[in-house]
Amino acid sequence: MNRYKIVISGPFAAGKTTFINTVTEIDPVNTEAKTTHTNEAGIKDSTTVAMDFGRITLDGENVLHIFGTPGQFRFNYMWSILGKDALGIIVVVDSGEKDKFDEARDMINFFRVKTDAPLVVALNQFENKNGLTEDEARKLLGLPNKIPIISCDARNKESVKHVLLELLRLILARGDTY
Amino acid sequence: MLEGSLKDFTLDEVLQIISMGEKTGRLILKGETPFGKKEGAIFFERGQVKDAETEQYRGEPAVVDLLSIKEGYFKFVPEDVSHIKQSINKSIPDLVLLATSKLDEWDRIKNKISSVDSVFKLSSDGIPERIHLTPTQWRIISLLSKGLTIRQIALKLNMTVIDVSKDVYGLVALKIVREVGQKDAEGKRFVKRRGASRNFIIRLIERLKRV
Ligand SMILES: Nc1nc2c(ncn2[C@@H]2O[C@H](COP(=O)(O)OP(=O)(O)O)[C@@H](O)[C@H]2O)c(=O)[nH]1
Ligand SMILES: [Mg+2]
Repeated sequence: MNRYKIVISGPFAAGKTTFINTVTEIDPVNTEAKTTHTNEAGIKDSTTVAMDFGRITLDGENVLHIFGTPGQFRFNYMWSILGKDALGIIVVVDSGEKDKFDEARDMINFFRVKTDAPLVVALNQFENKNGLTEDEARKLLGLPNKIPIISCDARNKESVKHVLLELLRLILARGDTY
Repeated sequence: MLEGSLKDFTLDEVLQIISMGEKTGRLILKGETPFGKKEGAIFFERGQVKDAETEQYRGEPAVVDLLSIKEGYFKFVPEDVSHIKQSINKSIPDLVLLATSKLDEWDRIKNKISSVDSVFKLSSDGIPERIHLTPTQWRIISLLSKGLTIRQIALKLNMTVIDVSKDVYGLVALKIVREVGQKDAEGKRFVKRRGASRNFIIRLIERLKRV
């Protein structure tokens, strides 16, 4: 059983939970039924544990886990552990919340120092807010060019897929895979 | 209920789920630690540790023992814990840190490098120009880049695995080398990579495109 992990991070209310829920295959309606048998990951899940956790099963041998970082544990031990063997990191940022950009920048730097996993920034565009463009956000975050920043709508499946695909392409391009 | 092997979820991830979900109930743990087999339960109230017990201890020492479990089984049972007396007032990260510091230096280093059978690769950024490395570190870099494991290097340089591990950890922290996988104890077969298989990523990409 190969279990791979992607970490979704970002400031409070940036859209992390929404992002994970949009892409996970765990259906909250169905999880109760699943508790009676062990799924492919060897884990029994139910609504009581389906928090910031998502899963994409490829086949009986390979599964991708998606973990959200908890807001209340800022920059502590848990975050290092979560990031440690992650395939990649996605930092979700609300494009309209300029006040949160400092925090987002700290988070990005935290992961860049603590892990060598590829990282992309998902710039969540809330339609009713006047959000920053990718270039403006890049400047404000002090983001080097090698880190992609991608506008997205965390509620939209296509949009979230696009971000994940960018991250996966980055992982491939880095040549860490075998 | 959440139940499984610590092969599928690390203990830290289980703790994270309980704490994030502000769960109340009993986490049953059973497994191997560097100090022998341990078995017991940690009681949580709204995501915070309230009490713990093992065959030997109650309270903080019990948590510390249980959090040292590296391989084993876990099961979280949601249940009322209002009758249980609060014996612990530390946060989960603090408790995890306590458990970690109980492990001796060797264990701490081992955690950082994951295994003495690990294989490393020179990072693509190369060695920073103005960095000062000892002759031993240079020798280790050269052997690592030839694909030798920490165990093999220790043999070759007549050093202890602990000393080689310390140097290797330093090189990892400086981002000069990066762990890419592991060999089996005989140093022959490549048994695990930290990165994913290319094939996995490619299939995942295909899979996502189709969703
Ligand atoms: N309009 C809009 N609302 C969103 C979007 N993403 C998240 N939200 C809402 O913003 C709030 C916070 O999102 P959440 O995912 O809980 O943020 P978290 O704290 O980062 O997990 C929720 O009410 C979401 O429904 C988005 O792209 N557009
Ligand atoms: Mg959330």
